[in-house]
Amino acid sequence: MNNILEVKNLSFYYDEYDSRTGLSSKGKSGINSISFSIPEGSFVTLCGSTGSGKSTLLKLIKGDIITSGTLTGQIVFDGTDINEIDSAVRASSIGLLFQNPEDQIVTDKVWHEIAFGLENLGMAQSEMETRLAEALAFFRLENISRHDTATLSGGQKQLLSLAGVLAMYPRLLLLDEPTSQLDPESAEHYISTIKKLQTALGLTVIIAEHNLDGILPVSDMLMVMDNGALVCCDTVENALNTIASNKISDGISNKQSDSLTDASSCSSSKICADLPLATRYGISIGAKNLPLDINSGRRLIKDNIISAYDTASKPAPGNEPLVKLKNISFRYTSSGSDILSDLSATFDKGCSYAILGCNASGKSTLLKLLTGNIKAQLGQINPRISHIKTAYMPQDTDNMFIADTVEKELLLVGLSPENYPEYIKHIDYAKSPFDLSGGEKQLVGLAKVTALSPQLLLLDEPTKGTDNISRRKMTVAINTLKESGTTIIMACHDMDFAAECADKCAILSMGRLTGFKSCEEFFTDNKLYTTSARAMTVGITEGIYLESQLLK
Amino acid sequence: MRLYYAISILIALGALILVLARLDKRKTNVRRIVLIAVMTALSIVSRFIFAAVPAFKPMAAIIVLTGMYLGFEAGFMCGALTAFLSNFYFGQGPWTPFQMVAFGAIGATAAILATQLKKRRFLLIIYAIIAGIFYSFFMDIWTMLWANNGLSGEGYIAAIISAVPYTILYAASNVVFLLLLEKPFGKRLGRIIHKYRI
Amino acid sequence: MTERLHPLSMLIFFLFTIILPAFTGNPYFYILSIIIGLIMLFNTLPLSNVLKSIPGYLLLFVLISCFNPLFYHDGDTILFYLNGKRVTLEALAYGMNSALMVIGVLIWCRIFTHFYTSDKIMYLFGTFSPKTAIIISMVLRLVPLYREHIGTYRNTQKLLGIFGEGTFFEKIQAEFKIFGGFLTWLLEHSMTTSDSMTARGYGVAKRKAYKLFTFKLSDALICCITAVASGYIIYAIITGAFSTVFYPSLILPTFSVKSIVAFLLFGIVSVTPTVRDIIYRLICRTTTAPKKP
Repeated sequence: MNNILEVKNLSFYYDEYDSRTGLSSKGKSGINSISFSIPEGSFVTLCGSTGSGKSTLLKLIKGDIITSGTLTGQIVFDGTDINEIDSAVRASSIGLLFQNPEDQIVTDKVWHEIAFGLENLGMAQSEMETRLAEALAFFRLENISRHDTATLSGGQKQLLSLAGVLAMYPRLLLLDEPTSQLDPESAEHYISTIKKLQTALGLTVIIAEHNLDGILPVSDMLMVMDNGALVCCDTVENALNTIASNKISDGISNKQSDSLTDASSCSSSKICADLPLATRYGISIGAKNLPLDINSGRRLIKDNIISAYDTASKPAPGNEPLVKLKNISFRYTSSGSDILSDLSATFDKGCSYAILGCNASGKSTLLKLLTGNIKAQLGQINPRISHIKTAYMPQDTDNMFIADTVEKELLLVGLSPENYPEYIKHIDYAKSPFDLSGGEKQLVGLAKVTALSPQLLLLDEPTKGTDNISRRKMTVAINTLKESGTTIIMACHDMDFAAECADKCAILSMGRLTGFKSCEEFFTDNKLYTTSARAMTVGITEGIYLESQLLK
Repeated sequence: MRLYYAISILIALGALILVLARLDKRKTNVRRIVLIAVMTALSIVSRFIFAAVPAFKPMAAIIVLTGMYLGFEAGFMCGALTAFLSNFYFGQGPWTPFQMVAFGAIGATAAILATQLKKRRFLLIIYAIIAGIFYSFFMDIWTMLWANNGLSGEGYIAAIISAVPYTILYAASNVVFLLLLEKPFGKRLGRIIHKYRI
Repeated sequence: MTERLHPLSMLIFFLFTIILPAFTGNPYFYILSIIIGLIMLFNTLPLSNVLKSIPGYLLLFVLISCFNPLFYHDGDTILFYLNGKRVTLEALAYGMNSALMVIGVLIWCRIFTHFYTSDKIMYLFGTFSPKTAIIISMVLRLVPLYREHIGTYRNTQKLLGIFGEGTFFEKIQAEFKIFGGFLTWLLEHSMTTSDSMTARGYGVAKRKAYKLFTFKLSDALICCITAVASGYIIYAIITGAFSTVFYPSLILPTFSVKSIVAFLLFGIVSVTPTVRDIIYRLICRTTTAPKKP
């Protein structure tokens, strides 16, 4: 088979820069003698925990991005060493896309963003026109072609960046966690677009991702990295079987490895945590053919009827109200439409609430209203927000950071290293908060708001951009916090997370809340909009909605 | 006499085009280009933040810092583009080319004096004051041509006198913002420049 | 229709309407330019928008008119004395003349700002400095982004208690801390932008700007007519067809064949875009109106 990419014995060391002496020295290792090859036209998923070197590998394959460091080994693209390919050809035939939708956009207009790469290649006007038209048509961006890029949604921005790269006719597409900042609907759309590119145009795709739910079923190959080394690179089926067998052997020596997650736990269980629930279920019962999606997971469950499972009994929360909302209506502009209309709700002390709902349903607006930063035009909040001690964690945790290091950051809210909560102990305190991974940022952010010891904690999409390990740490942290009497309200898309750490859930729809139900009631009543565990067991076994009930 | 008005605009425009076309020939690091855009956007945003206060604005201070830390080209570009682009929000006029030249010159000069300005704080203060006075006097030439349709010593002095409060505010705002912003900017830009080898 | 003009011909048109009248020094020329400018302004911007700015223009007229006689005391006709200084009719007339010019320029600049959108600026800069063009495009993206973000950032920090119960001075300090944090944020994020530019081949070849506009026959015509008209008007200025004498005593300019032709030429050229817009609107209306059965 024709391999489009061959990597031979690749190692990479970052330069350590000493700001005092101004000298550079060989620093920490990014990649550790990796070799693999990718056949043309494959869809490859690259997974591995934070800091495993996924991004570094992608940037090295692309070339020119990392300018300092020591590289040994060889990267061969389509039969030619990457260093011998003309830089213009390399720029167009290997496309690299990044995680953050906002940052990778360069220009102010949609058409210009697509034309940007073509302009760089010095292409003739007539050819640029054709390619621009092609890209606009393929990605259905025609009706927004003259819009400002600043007005697009996150999902549209990611598609636009993709269109900009595709207009250059790449043969290999490298994607660095492209969906981690997107809501589930946009992420799904993005993945299906990528899949279409691979099947319809024969593009080779390597996609690094934390959450493998939607992407494993469409992948041909799975690459797993850990600590700069390549653990395996094989077809999805073989790779999963390798992980499963490792996991079983690990399991014997390290019984609790799957439970709670620390840096010391073995690599395959770390990877396991990112696999789709159905696959994990398959591994847990030792199935031969591991399922990749909910549907095949259901078939497996039918064959292995679950007899005993834990009934998820959550302690009954207190019912002393902390804050009451009555007939709240809110709109951003006087001529705009209502974002919230006649919304009423009561939030009790020491209870955690999850507000679910699709994009732009007003979840974030409701949280902002509770912070007191914006005021509702109609309705009452009782008692007044200024009388409640509130803390707020925004969707973009970068907004919370102001100091140069994590340590100084936490000192601002009166936390010194000896008082750090358990869940951030693995983080390097001397790092700048901006250099942390998505999950680590969320955890430091959570530590920061928690340190304010609020009565009411508002979390906006706390699991955005996090890996499963950080998510689990967050679950534990939130549950501890709740026990100490804090009321928690979170807006999230992530139903599995909501099921794990909320007492009550409701959907925000058409400007109103559907009425809070207990988690168990909510998720077992719902059939369309529910957790993966529930979706896998609907009609087979009633009462299961948590992952932990399904996985032994 | 009115010719001066039109000719001065054409000279300013011509000078700008020449400098920009010359700068275009230089090969500039991508990261530096992005930083020029970032600093320009930041100084425009600072004009928005202080829109309510007349003349007391951090724009010139940010332009000076850009020149000091990112060099001649960055200083000039940031200055000229701040004036040009912010006027699309605050009102474009024939004064735009003059503002572009004045701010561009302030940024570029800061780059030439960068080592001294970084070393001694009092030099920075002096430069801030001079930059404020220069800006005001330079724009007074324009005011004179504009309101009096001609070049005359008397008219220039009249324009300078009528603009004294502005001159003081320009100089004062430059000193205040440079003193306040020098440290945070220096530290952060320095970090980025080292970290990414710009 | 005007918005479809090629950036180059549009620039030439606006240089003609903004700068050329000033050369003449002739009040009638200024008034003509103001009238045509106002017609175009009313034709492009919403009525209420234009009406709101009229008092401002009037105020400016009064201010500039008064500025000159307060500082210049030449002229034969003394109106009155102020603080022992003469205030003359000639100086006042000179001030009024200047004010007319200023207002004309302001009106045309406003039309310029409306029509000269970022796409056109980009095109213009792209031809002689592609680097400046790309920086402009980036700045235009970043300004709204930063404006929005600094608000969000400040609000979040406020909720995290950065302002505390501090004094005024401490609050100012907190504002600067916020600014510093914001600076870190934008610098860090900008580095991804530069990676994204490198990844798309920035700097690998000689950059060529995408041309969003084509130079049409109508553009060529407008350029030619404007050039011819400018040439004639400059000829008329040089030969003194517009001369207005203010000092020592006011002599209002007289009309001659030369000056009347110049007025006509200026009027025709500067009113053309408005006429084209109106005709185009009529065509659109007749072709899109629902036909009666």
